[in-house]
Amino acid sequence: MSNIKNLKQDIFRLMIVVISIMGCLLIFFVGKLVYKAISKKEIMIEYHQNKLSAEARRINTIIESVQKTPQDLAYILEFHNAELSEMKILMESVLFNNEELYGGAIAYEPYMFHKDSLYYSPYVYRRGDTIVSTNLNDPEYNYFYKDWYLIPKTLKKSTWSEPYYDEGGGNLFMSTYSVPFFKFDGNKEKFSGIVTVDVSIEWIMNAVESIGKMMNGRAILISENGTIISAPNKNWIYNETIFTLATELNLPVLREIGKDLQKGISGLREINEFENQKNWRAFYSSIHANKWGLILLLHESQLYKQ
Amino acid sequence: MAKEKGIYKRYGLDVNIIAGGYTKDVPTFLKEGKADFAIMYLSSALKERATGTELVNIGQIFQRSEIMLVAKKKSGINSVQDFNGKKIAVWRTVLGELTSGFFLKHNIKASVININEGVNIFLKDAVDICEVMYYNEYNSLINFGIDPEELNKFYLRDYDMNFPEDGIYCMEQTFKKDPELCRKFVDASIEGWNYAISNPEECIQVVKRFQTQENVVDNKAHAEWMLNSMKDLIQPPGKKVIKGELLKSDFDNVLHFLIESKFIDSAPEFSIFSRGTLKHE
Repeated sequence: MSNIKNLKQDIFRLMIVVISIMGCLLIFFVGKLVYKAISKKEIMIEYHQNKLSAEARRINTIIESVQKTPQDLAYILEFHNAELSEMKILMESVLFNNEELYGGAIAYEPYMFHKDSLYYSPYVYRRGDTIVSTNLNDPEYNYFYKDWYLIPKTLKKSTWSEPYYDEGGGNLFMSTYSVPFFKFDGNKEKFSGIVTVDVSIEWIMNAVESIGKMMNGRAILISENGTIISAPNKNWIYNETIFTLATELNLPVLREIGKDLQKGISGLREINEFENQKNWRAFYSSIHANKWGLILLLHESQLYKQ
Repeated sequence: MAKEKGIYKRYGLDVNIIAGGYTKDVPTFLKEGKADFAIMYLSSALKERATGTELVNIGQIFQRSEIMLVAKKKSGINSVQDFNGKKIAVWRTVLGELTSGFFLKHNIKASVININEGVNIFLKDAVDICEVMYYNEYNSLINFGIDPEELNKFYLRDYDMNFPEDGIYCMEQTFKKDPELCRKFVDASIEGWNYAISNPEECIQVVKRFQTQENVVDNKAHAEWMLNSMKDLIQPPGKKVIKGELLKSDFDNVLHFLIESKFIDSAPEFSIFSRGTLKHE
């Protein structure tokens, strides 16, 4: 009897050992699967973050290269009293060598270029395949009060304008980079005018659209104030800001993203629902040169498609 | 909405609306006969009248002041006295008399930067303080990422300057020639406002159409904000005034301010300046 009892106890112990081993193996394999899934997710998230950062850096590089030309021109004008013909040639060559630029101006303070000219601002811009020139001297246009002139003049430093429709100037949606220049009048540096280059918003829109397609998501470009410069929904462009969309779409997270980008912070946030689908992610990356921001809205299902 | 919904037509009026803006010199439009009626601020209209333009108020639509001066809290501007030595952006073509008078009254010595419109100069920190309308530019700041708690707000109405704003004006000659036409125009316009306030969705869609035509930024969040503000602006809670009426007390307050600030020496009697329809009923 005692042998049978001992055998039963041995079988029971063996079963416990076997079940324990199987349980451990099961926990190990499930854990491994979960770990793999999590790490794959992390890898894919990191991949998208890095990819978007790289695209933001690419735009940043282009913007920095756009800035260089007017900076050089402003420097020349501080030491050299250029003739109109010289200015035109300089501006034309700038456009000729930079396809992303739409136009450029050298806008002088009142009576600074010519003692009889209140307004004096030669402006060179693209018309179809040609480059043409004009003077922004229409009193109704009055460039002294345009953001592209007044803000850098007041700040005494270079600025990017918010996107705007330049009625009476370029007559299209654009963003302008303005560089103030100064002349030494014997006593001190005197503010003398602004050199500008205009970037057509259309050109930027095309670049951002390609990023969205390449990354299987919705790519959005916003300005420093949050204005939508490029987005798959064309009605948003110029009309909405990331902050108005936060209100209209009842997505407070968009306001948080906008605030982060204004501070130059890049990151990732989750969006519960967008376009009637759950589980979206918003990757965002700051473009440091002009404080713009690049956002990629990606649905969960697209995360592993790269 | 008065034009859109055929209200003017129902009153027997064929109205063509000329879009406004900072580039339009409204009194010149009236003087040269390019417009029969125009919208002007009460203070600007009184100043214009005092300098010889024979215009008259035939309806007061906005009954209180919505002008504010805003500063970022981080700038340390916490009181009007802190305005001294700061850069302040003010509109160059409208309401200069109010801001200049305000600075004079509070003995503020600041650097005034004249602007056409907008808030970009403030957002870029090129100025410390910016003039805004509560129903418009103030909300633009919110829509550009500024949180209300990041701002210090100075409403002119809190500084004894609660002056009514937009009113309907015409030349005295126009009024004398056909007071009935003027009455109809004001009544139909007020009916249009009533319709807009009662039918916000429809109104916003109509405004959107015009904004698109004019290449003006349009978004629902801002349009709703503006329209929501209108109700209190046309009939402020607690103010005993009939829609469209210019109160003599408001006229006297603005007149007193303009004379004290030395913008004008004298002005016509209330009964000459205000030809509001209600007075003639």
